Amino acid sequence: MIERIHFENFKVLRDSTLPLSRVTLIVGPNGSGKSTCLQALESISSPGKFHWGRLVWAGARGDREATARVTVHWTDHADQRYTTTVVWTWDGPTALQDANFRGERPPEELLSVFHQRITRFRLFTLNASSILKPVTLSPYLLLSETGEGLAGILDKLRDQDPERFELLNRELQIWMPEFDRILFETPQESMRSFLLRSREGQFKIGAHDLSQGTLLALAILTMAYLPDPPPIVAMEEPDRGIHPRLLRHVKDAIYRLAYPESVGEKRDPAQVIVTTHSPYMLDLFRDRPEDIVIAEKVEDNVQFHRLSERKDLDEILENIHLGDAWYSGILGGVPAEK
Amino acid sequence: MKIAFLSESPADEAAIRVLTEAVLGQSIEVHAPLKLRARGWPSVLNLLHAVISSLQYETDVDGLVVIVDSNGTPLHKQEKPIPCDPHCRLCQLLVRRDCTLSQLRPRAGQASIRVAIGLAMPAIEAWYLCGKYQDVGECLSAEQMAENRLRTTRKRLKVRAYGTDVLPMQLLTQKAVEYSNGLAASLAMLEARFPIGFGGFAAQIKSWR
Repeated sequence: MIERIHFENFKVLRDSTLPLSRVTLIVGPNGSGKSTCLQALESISSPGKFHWGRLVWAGARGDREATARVTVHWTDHADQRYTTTVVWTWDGPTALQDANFRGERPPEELLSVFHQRITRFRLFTLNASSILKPVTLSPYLLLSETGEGLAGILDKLRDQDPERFELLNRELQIWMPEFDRILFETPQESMRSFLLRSREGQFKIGAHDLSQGTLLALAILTMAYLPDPPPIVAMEEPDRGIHPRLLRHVKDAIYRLAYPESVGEKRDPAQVIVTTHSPYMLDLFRDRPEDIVIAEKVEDNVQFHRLSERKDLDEILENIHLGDAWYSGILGGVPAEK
Repeated sequence: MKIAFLSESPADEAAIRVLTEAVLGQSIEVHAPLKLRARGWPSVLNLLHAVISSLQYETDVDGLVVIVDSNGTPLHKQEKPIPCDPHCRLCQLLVRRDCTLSQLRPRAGQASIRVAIGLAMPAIEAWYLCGKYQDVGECLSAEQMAENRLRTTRKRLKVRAYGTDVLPMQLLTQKAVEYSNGLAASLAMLEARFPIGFGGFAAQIKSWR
């Protein structure tokens, strides 16, 4: 598991450390580096895709000696600690530099597992118009960053893991009781699109006719039921477009990904990192302050701190919602005002 | 009898419905059109006036049941005048309920709405575990709180009751109903171990028979 990530001159993150749990919900003002943290994970997963000029702190771009650096602090199954670092120089990124706490290179098998986990990192910024698109079927289909490919993922789940697909259908009925089943159609040869069947009247509603919120919720629900989800998953504002009362299900989906054992699943847990601006979403994490990280702009840097570090949290939350406490500014992580 | 529930989650609501029916000794009709839900303690208190008024004037509901977790706040002291403690959640709710009920206009052809309020100390999972663990009970929790060493925290109770504190709502609701069905057969024990939060609530419900 990744315990924390240290950033140096990485975009707005000049000298910042992001603590992580199995589930981490990051809140903070716009421009406080929430999305940058997720991009950092993406850039480690494929360092060559990102150029120094895009990553190094804007104030250092005139200096070709300046570097951007990301160090991932991670643990193995035995809780032994290691680091993996990538440095972007003007000439290009360095290869991943791995070390244990003594500065020695960790065992190759362990590195292979960790590098594979990092390489399979996926960032999702879901978009309803992408989710509803019909897809060309392929055995190697993955859900794209915006949710494109969902029809193919669902189709594959139905064919390869029918029991899991049935469970997904059952949970769909709980999330959106107006529907009772996911169906498919073939708009063209080798193409697949999905429909939802209404409980009342059994009408087939094509993806194009579903609401944005329904599409976004279906994509999140599907992710939680994948038999082999990415080992590290980041989601940008999964609350967007979804009714506040449905957010409880979104939270459940996130925890299902990260704690499969809590629902009797045998697969490996995913590490999930989520950003939000929703006080309603934040409210749902009230009982797990160790999973909440507040991002705060401090002069020209960003600081992250776990909410559980607040000694006065119980007093603060005695009579107000966590979301309201955050909005008020007493917890930090709010936009600056002139 | 038509009853509405105001609770912090669908799981709590499912459990409270079972317990309410058990105390009443008759099946109830749950008021569905107004799907009430609070976002946690602060909402329950803030919404209570509006919810009671809406049910009184817009529905034919006979009673409203409200249950909240004490979650680290003190146990209500029945022998003291209300409010017994400024932090007591039950007192705060009772004060607001009584104030609202006193302001209601009568409704035609039906008695005014009745409101029963309960307090689960420190959380509803303590009720579920009643009789299963010796360290679960209202008085014991109050003693531990007074000595600043509350051991049966909400989180610990959840882990004991469900094996995890991150159970999805669907499974949480199933478990809540299972536990409540078990408790329905041993209400006397629940009233004895939770005389104020549950016992007081049960007395209010019994008066509706």
